[in-house]
Amino acid sequence: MVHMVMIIKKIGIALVFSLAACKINSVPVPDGMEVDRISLSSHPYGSYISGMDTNNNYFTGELIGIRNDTMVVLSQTLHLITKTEVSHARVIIYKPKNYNAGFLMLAPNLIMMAVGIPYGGSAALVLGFLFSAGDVAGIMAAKSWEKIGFNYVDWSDNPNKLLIYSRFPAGIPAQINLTALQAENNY
Amino acid sequence: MKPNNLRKSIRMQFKGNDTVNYLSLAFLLLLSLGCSFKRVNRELTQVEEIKSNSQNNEYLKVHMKNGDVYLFHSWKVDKSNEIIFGFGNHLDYNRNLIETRDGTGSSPSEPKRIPTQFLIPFDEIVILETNQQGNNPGVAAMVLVGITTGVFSLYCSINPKACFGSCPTFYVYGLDVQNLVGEGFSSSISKSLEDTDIDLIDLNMEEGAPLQLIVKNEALETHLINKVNLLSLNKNDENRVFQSSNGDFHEVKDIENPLKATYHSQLITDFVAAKDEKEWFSLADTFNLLKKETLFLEFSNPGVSSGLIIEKRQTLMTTFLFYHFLSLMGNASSHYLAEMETSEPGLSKKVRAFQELLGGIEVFYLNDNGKWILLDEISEDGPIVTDSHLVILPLLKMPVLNIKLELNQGLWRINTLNLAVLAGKVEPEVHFPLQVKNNATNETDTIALDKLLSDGYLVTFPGEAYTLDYGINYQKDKEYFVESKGYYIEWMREEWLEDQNLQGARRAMLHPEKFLKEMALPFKAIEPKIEEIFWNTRISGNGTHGNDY
Repeated sequence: MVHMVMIIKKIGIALVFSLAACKINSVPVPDGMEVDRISLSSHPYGSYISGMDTNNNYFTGELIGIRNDTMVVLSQTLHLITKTEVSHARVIIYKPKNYNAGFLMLAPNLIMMAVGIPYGGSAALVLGFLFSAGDVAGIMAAKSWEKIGFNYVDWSDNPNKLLIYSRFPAGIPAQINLTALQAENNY
Repeated sequence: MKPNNLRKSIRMQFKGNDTVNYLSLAFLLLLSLGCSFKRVNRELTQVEEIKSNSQNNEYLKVHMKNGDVYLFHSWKVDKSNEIIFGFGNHLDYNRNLIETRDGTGSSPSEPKRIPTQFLIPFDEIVILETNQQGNNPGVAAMVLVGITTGVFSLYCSINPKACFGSCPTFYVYGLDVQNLVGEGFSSSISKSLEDTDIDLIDLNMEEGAPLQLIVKNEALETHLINKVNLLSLNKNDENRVFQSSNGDFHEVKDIENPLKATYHSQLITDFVAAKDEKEWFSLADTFNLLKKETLFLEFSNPGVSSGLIIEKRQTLMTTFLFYHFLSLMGNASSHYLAEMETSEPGLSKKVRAFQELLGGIEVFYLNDNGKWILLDEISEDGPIVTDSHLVILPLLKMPVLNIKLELNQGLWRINTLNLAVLAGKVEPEVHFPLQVKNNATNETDTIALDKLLSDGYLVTFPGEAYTLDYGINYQKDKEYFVESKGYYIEWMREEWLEDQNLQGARRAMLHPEKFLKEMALPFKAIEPKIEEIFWNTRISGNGTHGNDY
């Protein structure tokens, strides 16, 4: 039990020191965006983009791609922005996983405490809290690391890198009528 | 007999369990990765440049010149015929599903499912897309910790009696935590078996810190505690004090490891060299719980009066037997236990007969004539806390002292077997509690104090704890023992009543040897289940086990 306490302390201290130095790089995602890191590879749509052109017009929606130096963004309306007129823009690639399901791991500990308290009170409580602390530390580690990853690309950093997150990363095929395009349901 | 110790024993294993240590190590290693998050990365590749076939869990997006896309979860590249073929989904430029081919056949609820692969000529492909998901080391930490705690928690939920509680346990406030230092009168399962127990307590305290004992009832038991005193004995800073079988306390010095300790010709010296987290133990015999086994020890003969230090505790065998016996008696247990105190003293004898049959650790030495002589038998029950014993050896001429230990197979866990030079007898100073505090109310309990100082009994129920203040401070030049006296009454469990078999109980009392043979297989059936959770067992042949717990 003593060692267990020490171990939990060590884990806690290491966690604090390790993660305290880490910068959170992820940005909030728009409502309705559900694609996460894992499902990104099978997500057939373009990523969400928001930005402003040089005329101070905002645009948001799914990044469709480029045609003749014009960036196409689709939401309820079709946005056509000449590349040279993009003031700034940001593509949000995925929604960081929150790992809240990990809190289900606390259930066995709670059951153990409920069952164990009549058998000895403190031992069950201490063990239950220690285990729960360990579980929460693990969940927080997963949550924290998830937020360390960059989930966005800025136009100002590299327009070409941003454009590969479009629905048609090699450019919008000539035969596609832009007005016939349907946006992803969520946007 | 030590009934509820199974729970406490298991609980104790958490303090140094290998699994837990490896778990924390793995966790710390993961943490040491710091901020090294492997970020998400999308790669676009010209079709002519594609190198490999599909890999595990990797999707390939094949973007077509007409805007369609194929999402392959497995694919192959035929470069000679310039074709990619694979299983997955075909979607149009608006990402509506056109067709699925996944090799599993068609389903009436889905439009088109064809168990053949898509074939895509290179010249229809505009570009290929792959995505690296990145990684999150924190997930591994979360899963590792979650599975480990989940397994322990579920085990303890299903078998709460195996995890929590025991007869009276003694804790001391260490540097910053409560350290379990002892268990009291483990064999005293009724008043007629009431006994005094004296245990050496290893303290990890700062010089001058107040010495207080916390007495806990952590079991489904009623504890009746007659006294809990502290004994202190003067010693040299570097020496130790141990109690011999006759009750004398001896200061010892020059503690030496065995030159060799063997079991079935295998070296076990490393397991018994020092009081640490390594213990030696063996598994019980499959057909007879009374089967004996032998350890052989060799020490350098110091040429002066010396003693063998044995530090050990019991396995869970006695706990299993006691629980089983109670379940056989079922709801008649209280009747029999009451009779033990009144008209049936013979029953007490039968209970003691069980203990005697299982036996203690017999210590033999090889005399100068080459004959094994029985010197002593160490027998103190309880699998929770390691007990310390000193066996005084006779003066012998041989350069090497040969010692033999005979013990019941699978009944003992031996932590230390050392030889020490006797530095002289010492007398204990007895410290009585000056103040008793009820931990639940955090208030002084003068009635409890009065009971501990008189012939009365402090009666405690599950979950209760008392802090005993002796008005003394820890000193490094003293050795401390806790002296406890009392007994306890095991509470019956509902599930035990289902197994009531009075004939079986009677047969066990009349023929304990036969009973212990019959119990071998049932015990073997649960022995690994209990052990595997809390011990990482090293099998070194002949059923010999050692562990770092």
